[in-house]
Amino acid sequence: MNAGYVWTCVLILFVTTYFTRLLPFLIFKGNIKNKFIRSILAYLPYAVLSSIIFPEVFEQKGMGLLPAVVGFFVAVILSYKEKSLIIVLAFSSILTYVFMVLDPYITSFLHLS
Amino acid sequence: MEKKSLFKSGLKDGYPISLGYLPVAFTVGIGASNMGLTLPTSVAMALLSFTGVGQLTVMDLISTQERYIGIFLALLVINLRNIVLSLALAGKLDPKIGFGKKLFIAMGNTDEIFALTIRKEGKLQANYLFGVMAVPYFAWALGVMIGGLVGDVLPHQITAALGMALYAMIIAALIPAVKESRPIFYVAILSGILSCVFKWLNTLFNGDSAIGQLFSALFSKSGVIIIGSLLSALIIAYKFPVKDKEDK
Repeated sequence: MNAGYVWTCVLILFVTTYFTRLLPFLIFKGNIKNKFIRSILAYLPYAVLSSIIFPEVFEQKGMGLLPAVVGFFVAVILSYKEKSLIIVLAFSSILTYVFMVLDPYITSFLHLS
Repeated sequence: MEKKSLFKSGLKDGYPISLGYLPVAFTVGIGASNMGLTLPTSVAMALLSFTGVGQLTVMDLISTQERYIGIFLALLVINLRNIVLSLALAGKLDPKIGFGKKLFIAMGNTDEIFALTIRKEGKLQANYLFGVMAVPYFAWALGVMIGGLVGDVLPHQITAALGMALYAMIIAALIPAVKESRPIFYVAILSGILSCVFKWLNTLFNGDSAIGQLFSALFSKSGVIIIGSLLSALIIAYKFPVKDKEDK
């Protein structure tokens, strides 16, 4: 593979990622007086987080719907109870794994009955 | 708080993010070595970009020998959501933070680090943010390197299950805020629904015609995050303007 081509692509990756992250820090100065804009900025982060989660959390590579739903609800319940981040991450991925292993058996059981 | 203890409390809050990053980084590293990228290239990519989606995309485009302009536009669209994330984070920074430090803070503003830091109370200090970013940043690069060196060390099911940790991280950032505030609950529901609707709309457009390509880019993941979340925040901000006590 052409090294010059690859390194140029690395550079493009760096420029597009870094400058989109940096730009708002450079233009954002001090406090905003307008109440409406302050309200938007207050809600925007949570809107962004929600649109990152849905619907992708249920469409993950190499994972059926059942384990994804289980992992999702485990994470929701544990964070609702305000458990520490490491607990939320660990239990959510462990139970996702358990249900990934069980998934074929549960599916075939449902087909039998 | 002193500078050192701020950094330490950042480290303590940030290290669990590495748990979610490592398996994804392995996957990226494995992919890079499979397509014939050298180790220095894939590690340099990791250190310079600190992004999973962007790195996977560029690898994909390199493998098909895409032209520079195509790569640039694709990455730009994917990264546009960073502007929204950084705009929100910039509003939470301590106004005394200088330009030099902002250069580093911007580097580390990934989806997950954003999710974690945005729910902190009060203004964010630079040293705290550096603490949060330090371990995940190097874990990311290390993961890419190990993935490239040893290839498929973990069974696929385990890697996939650990991928759930990335979403769990974002869920853990969202749920406590949703619990405390009704408008945040509404904005999260609205934005989640819009995201699903846009995703569905996107399947209606194939990339054949120019219009089709435009719509398909508009409803891509990055487009959805920008349009959907801005629209939801706009509606909820109109309905429920923040109380003045919230500016600290």
